[in-house]
Amino acid sequence: MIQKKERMVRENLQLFSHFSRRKRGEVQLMETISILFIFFILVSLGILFYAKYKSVAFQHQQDAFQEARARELTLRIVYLPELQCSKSQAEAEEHCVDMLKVNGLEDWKNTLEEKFTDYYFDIFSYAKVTLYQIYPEEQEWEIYTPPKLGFKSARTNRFIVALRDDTLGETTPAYGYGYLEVVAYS
Amino acid sequence: MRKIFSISERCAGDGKKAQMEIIGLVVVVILITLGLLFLAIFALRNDEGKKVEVLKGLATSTMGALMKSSVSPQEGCAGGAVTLKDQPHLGEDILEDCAVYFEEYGEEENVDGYSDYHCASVHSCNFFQDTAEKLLASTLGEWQYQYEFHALLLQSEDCKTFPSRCPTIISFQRGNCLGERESSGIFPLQTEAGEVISELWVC
Amino acid sequence: MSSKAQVQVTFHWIYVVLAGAVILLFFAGMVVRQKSVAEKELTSEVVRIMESILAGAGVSEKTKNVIDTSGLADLALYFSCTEGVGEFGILDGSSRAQNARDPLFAPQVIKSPQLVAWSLPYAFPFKVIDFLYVTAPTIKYAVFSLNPSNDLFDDFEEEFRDVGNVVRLQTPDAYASLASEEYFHVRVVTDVADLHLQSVPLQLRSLDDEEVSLVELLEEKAVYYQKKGTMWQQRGEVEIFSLGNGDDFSDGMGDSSAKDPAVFAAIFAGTPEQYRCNMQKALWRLELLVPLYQKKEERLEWHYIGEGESTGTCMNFLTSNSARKNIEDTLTHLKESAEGCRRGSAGSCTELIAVARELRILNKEMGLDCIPLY
Repeated sequence: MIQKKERMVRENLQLFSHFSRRKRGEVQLMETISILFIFFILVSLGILFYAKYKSVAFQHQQDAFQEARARELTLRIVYLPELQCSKSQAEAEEHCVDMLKVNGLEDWKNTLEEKFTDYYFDIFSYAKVTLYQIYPEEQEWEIYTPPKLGFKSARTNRFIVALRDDTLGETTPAYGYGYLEVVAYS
Repeated sequence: MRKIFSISERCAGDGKKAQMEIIGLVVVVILITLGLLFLAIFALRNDEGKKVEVLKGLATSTMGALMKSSVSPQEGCAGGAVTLKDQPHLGEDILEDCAVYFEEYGEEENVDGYSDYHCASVHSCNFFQDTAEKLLASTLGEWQYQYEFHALLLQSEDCKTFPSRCPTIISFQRGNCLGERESSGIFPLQTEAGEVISELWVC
Repeated sequence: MSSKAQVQVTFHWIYVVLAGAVILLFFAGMVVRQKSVAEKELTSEVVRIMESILAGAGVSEKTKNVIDTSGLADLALYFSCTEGVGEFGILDGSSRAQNARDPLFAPQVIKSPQLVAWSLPYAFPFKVIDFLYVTAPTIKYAVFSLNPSNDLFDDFEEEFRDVGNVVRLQTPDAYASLASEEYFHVRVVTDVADLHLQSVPLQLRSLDDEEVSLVELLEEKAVYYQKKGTMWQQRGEVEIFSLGNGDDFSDGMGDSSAKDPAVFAAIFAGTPEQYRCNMQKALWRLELLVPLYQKKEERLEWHYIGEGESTGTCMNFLTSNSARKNIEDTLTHLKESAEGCRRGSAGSCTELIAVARELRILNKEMGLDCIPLY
C-alpha cells in the first residue's frame, strides 16, 4: 500500500514537474519576447529623440549661419564704394553715406539696366536695403530691392550712418543723422 | 532517490530571480528618465529669448553720426554772437559752446543761461542733451539697445589724472549698460575751456 | 539529456555570437559612414567659415586679421582665379567657395596653422573696391632692394613685423645667403631689374621648384619667375594698374608713404594669371562705378547752375567747351578705356592709367575752391 502511495506520489510529482516545466518554458518565452519588444521600443524611442535633436540642432545652426550672413552683409553695405563718402583724394570717410551718389542712384540703376541686377545680386542677394534719415528731416531712399520670391524668414540689421551732402553748407558739408536698414530674406 | 526540492525552496529561488529582473527594469527606466531630462534641458535652453547682439562698429558709427550732425535750420541757432554761414555741427560747435559756457548752465541746468548758440532758444548744453537723447532714443532705443553717453570736461591737471573728478557736462542713458558692452572710443574735442572727451557705450 | 543540454548550450552560444556580430557590424558600418559624412561636413564647414571670415576681413580696411587654422594644420588650402571667378577650398577636398566679385590675392597653396588676411582699398582714382591679401606665417617674403629708401618695401616690412615673415635684404651678399629656414614657401620680391639672370641662392636650391618664386617689380609691371633647378624661369608678366604715389600732381605734392594696393597685389598673387583675373574684377567694378560718378557730376552741375554760377570756375572744372580737360569728358573717357582694357585691348589699358591720373589731378585742383567729385 505504502509502495503504491509512493508510486502515486512519484507519478503525480513527475506529472506536476512535466506540466510546470512546460508552463515555465512558455512563461520564459513570453518573458523573452516582451523583453525584446521593450528593447526595440526603447531603441526606436532613442532613434526618434536623436533625430529630433539633430533636426533642432541643424535648424539652430542654419539660423546662426543666416544671422551671421545678414550681419556680414550689413557691414559690407556700409563700406560699399557706391555709397561711401570720400575725403581728400579717395580716402574713405567711415560710416558716412554720400547723398549726391544716393540721389543719383535711381538714374544710375536705369542706365546700367541688366548689368546692375546681374552684378549686384551677387553682393546683395535676397536683401532689401533702405536708407533712412532721422534728422534734420525724416526721409527714406530705397537702395536695393531683391527679386520677388517666397521667403520663409527675414532678419533685419540696422547701422547708424552720417548722411553727407556737399551741396548744403557753404564752407563745410552738411551732415544728417540716419541709418541703413538691411533686411536679409531666406 | 533523487532529492526533490520543496516547493518553498523552489519559490525562494524564483523570487530572487524576479527581484533581479525588476531591478534591471528599474535601472532601464532611470536611464530613460535621465536621457529625457537632458533632452528637455537642451530643448528649453534653445527656446530662450535671444539677446540682441551689437553689430561691430555700431557704437563708433552712432557716435560719429551724432557728432557730425548739422543742426536743422528750423532750430534758429543764429543769435547775437554768431552769424551762420553753415549750420553748426552738434558734436563740434554746439558741444564746444556747451563746454565754454558750462558755468552759465551749471548743475541747476539753467536753460536760459548764456551761450553763443541759442538753438531752440535754450542753452547749448540743454540743446545738445535734448537732441542727442532724441536721436539715440529714435534709433538705438527703438531697436531695444541700451546705452550710456557721457561727455567730460578736462579743465585741470588734477582732473586729467583722475577723470572721475572732471565735471560731466552731458550725461544720459537708457537702461543699465553693465557687463558686455561696446564702446565708441573716446571722441576728443579741443575747446577754449579745455578738452571735452565724449564716449558712448552700447549694449 | 546531458547531450541535449550540450547541444542547446552550443546553439545558444552560436546564436549569441551571430547576433552580436550582426549588431557590431551594423554599428561599425554606421560609425564608418558617419566618419566620412563628418569629414565632408567638416571641410564644407571650414570653407564656409573661411568665406565668412575673409568677407569680414575684406571689409576691415587697412587691418590685418590673423585667422587661427590650427585645426586644419594637416590640410592645405588652395586659391585660384580663372576667367574672372576666384575660387578657394581645401586641396584634394570636394568643398570650395567661388567669388566673382571680390579680388583676393594669395599664394596658390597655403599650409599653415595660421592665416593672415589684410585688406587695402583700391582707388582708381576714386575708391573702386577692397583688395584682400591672404598669406601665412609659413610663407617667407624676402624683399631685396639696393635702394635703401624704398618706401613700399619699408611699409611692407613694417606692416608684417608682428607676423615676422618679411625679411629685408639690402646687399647682394644678403640675397646670395638667403635661407629657407623651414618655411613652406619662399618668395623673393625685388625692384632689381635683372635679378632673374643670377642663379637661385645656394640654400634655396635644395627646395622643390614650386616652393620658391621671384617677383620683379619694375615701373609699371611685375614679372613672375619660378625656380627651375638653380636658375629662374619666367612665368609671365602683368601690368600694374596703379596711379603711383602722386608725383604727377600739378603742385608736386604726393603721398609717398601710401601703401599701393596694386603693387601689393602683385607681391601676394600666386601667379600672373591670378593677378590678371582679380584685376579684371576691379576693372569691372570700375566700369560700373563711373556712370554713378557721372550722375554725381550732373548733380554738381545743377547745384552750381542753381547757385547762379553756370559760368564760374567750378563749372569749368565740370564741363566746358574750351580746350581744357574737364571732369565730364574725362569720366566718359575713363569708362571707355576701362571697358576696352577689360576686353583685352592693351592700348586701352595704358590709356586707362593716363586718364585716371588726369581725373585725379582735375579732382585735386577742383577741391581747392569747389566741391570735389570724390
